[in-house]
Amino acid sequence: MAETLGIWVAALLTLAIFSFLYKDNPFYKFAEHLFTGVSAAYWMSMAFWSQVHPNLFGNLWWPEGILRGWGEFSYIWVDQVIVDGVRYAGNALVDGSLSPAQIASAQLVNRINPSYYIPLVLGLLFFTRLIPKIAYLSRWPLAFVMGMAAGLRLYVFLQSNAMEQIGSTIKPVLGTATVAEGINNLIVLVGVFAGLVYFYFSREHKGVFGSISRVGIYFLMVSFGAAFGYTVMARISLLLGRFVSLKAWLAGIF
Amino acid sequence: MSFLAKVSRLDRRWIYLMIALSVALPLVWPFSMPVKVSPHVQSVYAALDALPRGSTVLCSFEYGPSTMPEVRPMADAVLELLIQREHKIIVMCLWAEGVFMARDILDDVADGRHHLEYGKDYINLGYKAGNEVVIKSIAESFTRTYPVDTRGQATASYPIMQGIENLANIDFIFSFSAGYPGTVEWVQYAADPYDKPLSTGCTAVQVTEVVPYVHSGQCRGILGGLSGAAEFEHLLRDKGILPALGAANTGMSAQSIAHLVIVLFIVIGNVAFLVERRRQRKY
Repeated sequence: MAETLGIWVAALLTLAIFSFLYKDNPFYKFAEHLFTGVSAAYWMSMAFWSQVHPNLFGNLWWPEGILRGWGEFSYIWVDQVIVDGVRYAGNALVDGSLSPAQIASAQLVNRINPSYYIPLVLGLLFFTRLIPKIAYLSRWPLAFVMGMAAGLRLYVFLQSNAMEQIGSTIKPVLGTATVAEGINNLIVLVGVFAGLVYFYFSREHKGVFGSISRVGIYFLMVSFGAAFGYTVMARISLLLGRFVSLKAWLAGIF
Repeated sequence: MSFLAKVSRLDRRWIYLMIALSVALPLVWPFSMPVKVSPHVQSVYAALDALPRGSTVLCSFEYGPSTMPEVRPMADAVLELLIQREHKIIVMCLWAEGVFMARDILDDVADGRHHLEYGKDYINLGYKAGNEVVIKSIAESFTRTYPVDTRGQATASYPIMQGIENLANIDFIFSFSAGYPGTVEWVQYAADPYDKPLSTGCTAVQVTEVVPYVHSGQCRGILGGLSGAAEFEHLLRDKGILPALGAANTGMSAQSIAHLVIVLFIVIGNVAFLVERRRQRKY
């Protein structure tokens, strides 16, 4: 029954979205708003349970009194619930898998790690943007995030995207296994060189320099065309997916 | 008004209708079209074929429901090949929705079709937040990154994880990717720094981003979009691994017709534009 209902809802919402292709209408608006709301709720829930809870809240120490006194919301702070030696996730307190008697006798566990108070403080500093007098403090966690991301990505980009790609650009043109391979290597070399010349703006693009730059434009156009072609293919695949779903729905009816 | 002038002012809804029909009709009356296996797809097969039986392959699911029509057929075919070669499959997800995608396909292929034993032949470690940091983390330890699997049991307790401490113990990585984090991150944080062989099955949108890694040898081939999946299905059928062509080929005939219609409209639109411009210059 639930599956049938799901198929019907999916099919009707698909048709509602498709109806926009004719013209804007209330069915499309309803489906669009529903999608936006459900997506926002889903991602908010996912972000909390997959990031904030396991990476922060579940690692902080909370007094037993707070955990017990917080009632149904205590699962937010509890990492694990131990009942008769069996471990459950924190949300077992509210998902109905444990009886009130079991919860009363359960041992509530947090993974206590003092170092997690640093991200907690940094995270809270983001909210200082709401107080103009100390808003500058919000730059500190931002600086941390930017520094960490830059440090993490710099060397991998240098290795994988710069060094390796330069190496694969400059390959032998003569003496290759096949003539086609040599021609291919030459095209890659010319394309990269001409593309780089196009993006060199410290000199006016005229004469020989302008001609090479123009060749660069042609290579870029080919690359954009390939990217566009693949994008069209991807979008048709998505359409195909919805049509397959609609076909299954119709097959179920007739 | 001439025919070409009418065409150049054609209501876009007629184009939508034509595209819809070109996709829908081949689904109602399916037919097959010739498929030529490209060198990139050959490379994927060659890389997987070269693995000794019983190797440990890490499959990462980085796609969701919206990209399922493209990536699911290739995941289906790749898992079929891995299972028939008796490789051990460790599944993990860098996307939260990947967990559902992985569960769905493992239920169908590993459990339903081949009756593999969970925890011995394959395992689903699930999703861990952190994007590329998760890749860096499994390079140090699988069990610390994933203390429990999707069934809530200790990862270290499963037979398949015995002797698998970190990325160094993985023989091959396969990324089913639809964006960030995905194949690019696997190249940057696993394949290159730890010299691990990697292949990918990704959405068509990603192909131009990933192909440079294929040309440089950082990635062993690529299954690009639905066409890549269709080619791989053909290859596996010809090798006797798949009994019949799968969902990708069914979709590919519809896709090909839709492409022809789009190309036709582009040609007609350009001819109409050029003729109109010439006529305007004349008068």
